[in-house]
Amino acid sequence: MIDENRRNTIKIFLGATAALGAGMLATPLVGSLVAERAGYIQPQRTGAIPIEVCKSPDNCPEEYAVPLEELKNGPVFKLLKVNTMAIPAVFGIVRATDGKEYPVAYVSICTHFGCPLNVSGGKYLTGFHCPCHGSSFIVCNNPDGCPDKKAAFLEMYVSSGPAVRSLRAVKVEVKNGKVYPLVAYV
Amino acid sequence: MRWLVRLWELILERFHLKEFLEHPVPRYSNINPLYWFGDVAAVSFFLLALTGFFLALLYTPGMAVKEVPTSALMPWDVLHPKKTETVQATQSYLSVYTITYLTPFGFILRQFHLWAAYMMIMAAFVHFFAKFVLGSYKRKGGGALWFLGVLLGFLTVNQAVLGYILPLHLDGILALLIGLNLFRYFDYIGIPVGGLIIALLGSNYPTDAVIKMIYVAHILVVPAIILILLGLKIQGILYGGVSPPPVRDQELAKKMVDDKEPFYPHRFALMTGQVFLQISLLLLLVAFFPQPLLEPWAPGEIVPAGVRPPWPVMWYYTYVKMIDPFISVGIPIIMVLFALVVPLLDRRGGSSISERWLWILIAIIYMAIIGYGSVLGFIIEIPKQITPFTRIAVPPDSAVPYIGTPSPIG
Ligand code: HEM
Ligand code: FES
Repeated sequence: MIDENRRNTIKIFLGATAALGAGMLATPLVGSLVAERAGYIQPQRTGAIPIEVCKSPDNCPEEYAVPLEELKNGPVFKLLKVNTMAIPAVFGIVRATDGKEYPVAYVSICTHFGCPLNVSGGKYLTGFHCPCHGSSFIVCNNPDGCPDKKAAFLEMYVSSGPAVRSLRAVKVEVKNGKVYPLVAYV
Repeated sequence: MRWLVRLWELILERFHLKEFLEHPVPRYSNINPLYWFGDVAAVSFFLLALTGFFLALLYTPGMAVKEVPTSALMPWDVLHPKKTETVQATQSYLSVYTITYLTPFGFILRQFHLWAAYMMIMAAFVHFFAKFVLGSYKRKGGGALWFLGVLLGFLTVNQAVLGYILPLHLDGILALLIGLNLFRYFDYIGIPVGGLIIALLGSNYPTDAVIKMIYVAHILVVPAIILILLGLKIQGILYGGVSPPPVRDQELAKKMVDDKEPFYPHRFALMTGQVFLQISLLLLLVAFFPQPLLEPWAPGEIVPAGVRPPWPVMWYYTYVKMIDPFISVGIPIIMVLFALVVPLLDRRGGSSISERWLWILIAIIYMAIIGYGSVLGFIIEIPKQITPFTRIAVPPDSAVPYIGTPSPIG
């Protein structure tokens, strides 16, 4: 005769031991992988994750900086390597409707499904086009905003295609004739 | 010679292989092609593991970018002729380039792996459809096997996508970028799937670490899971039998189930023939329809127009282009979930074709959704929006306005 009670007790012990062992193994493993990057897991309401590239232009590595002189010839692509991240940023100058020029930068990942974007515009940055499913993005260059597009000034809004969200931007600051990236929203 | 025979018999006896070789297989399942395609998929998997092993020895993953002369590219690999003297290519691309064009037999090795992958996916689809039509999930134990099958199908497509990324040609990098960012739609509705993927891989843009992870997943993690599930499945079929024949007459069905023959030599001979046929067919495909390596690409370069995904995901591309992303992201998930719950929905009635017409119709519609999208994707340039329900208003607080205070220069 098999003692069912004893059998079940042994099963519970075995199960509990296995679960405990697996948990003890997994916790540090998963923890080490995730802990330092926990911020990535809780994106903002916008779905964007802010990544600090530089605290200020003073301590920003020179390889991140783009000289304004270079930008005047047209948009410049930079692959910013921050910790484990690679951030594809396109720097450019937007000419506003008031005639002033604004240095800007955007993360060139399509907000639809994530393809790399092609820059449109010549000397000035005017927009992006996505090769994958055909989304187009255009910059709002009116200092008072573009209410008909529901876009704020310098927002890279969706002008056509399946994407629904504006491009994610990089906060920049100019110092000594160079544009420095401060915070990238990936 | 005699001692070889003795040794063979000893092995059979000591490892109880005789029981396996002599296990009874119903005759109808050996004759009916609806029962063959699982084997085709399984054999493809072993051919993939074999060729994949050698590929893994020759392949080096990496995002490091090098300049190579444009003249080194094969004309069939590029979408539009390049105008520059040199092109940029990643380490991964150059290593697959080396395998393909500079290693003896490398071309055949890579093409064989690629075609075996295509064959495995095709066989898995046909197998799925066949078991759908037969209602194989209705017999005892059939539900569990169906469940394993859906998981295996999902893993197979998954494995193909991971493999497609490895050469880091333009199309592979696009696939990778989409894989790294697509799941972020879950983040918008409060489930941090995309964030978790970024946290685990460390980036939502290709880096060395990401490529390494994809490589390990493709050659170790996913094949290991497939192997375990496949083992379970074979075990379940070995002891649970195959699904009953699709006939209405109960007596005839019983007679057919009871009409068994031992696995060896009947089914064994069939399978041996199948393996050789499959290998020959694959070699013919390699010889007559070699697939291009596709062009290299490096971050910051312009993406040429006209890039299309490979055929196993073409149907999805079609729907993605037509439909709002908040809906289109869910399509594959719904397809997989529906396939999973089919055994729970379809419970009544026998297993003959005349009793199952409704579910056979559903099976046909299911395959037609995939087929329609695939064909459409190949033949027409899809307009950006086709259906009126394709746009959903953006939630007002989800757009990222330009951050910081804009300040002009000069
Ligand atoms: C379910 C099984 C598998 C499927 C569906 C599959 C599919 C693929 C595909 C579609 C490619 C891309 C080929 C190309 O475009 O160049 C690929 C590449 C590769 N696979 Fe697999 N594979 C499988 C199993 C394996 C296994 C088991 C290994 C290793 C042990 C492996 C190693 C490789 C390697 C090293 C590459 C990169 C070289 C190349 O691209 O030619 N694969 N695989
Ligand atoms: S990824 Fe850009 S439009 Fe789909």
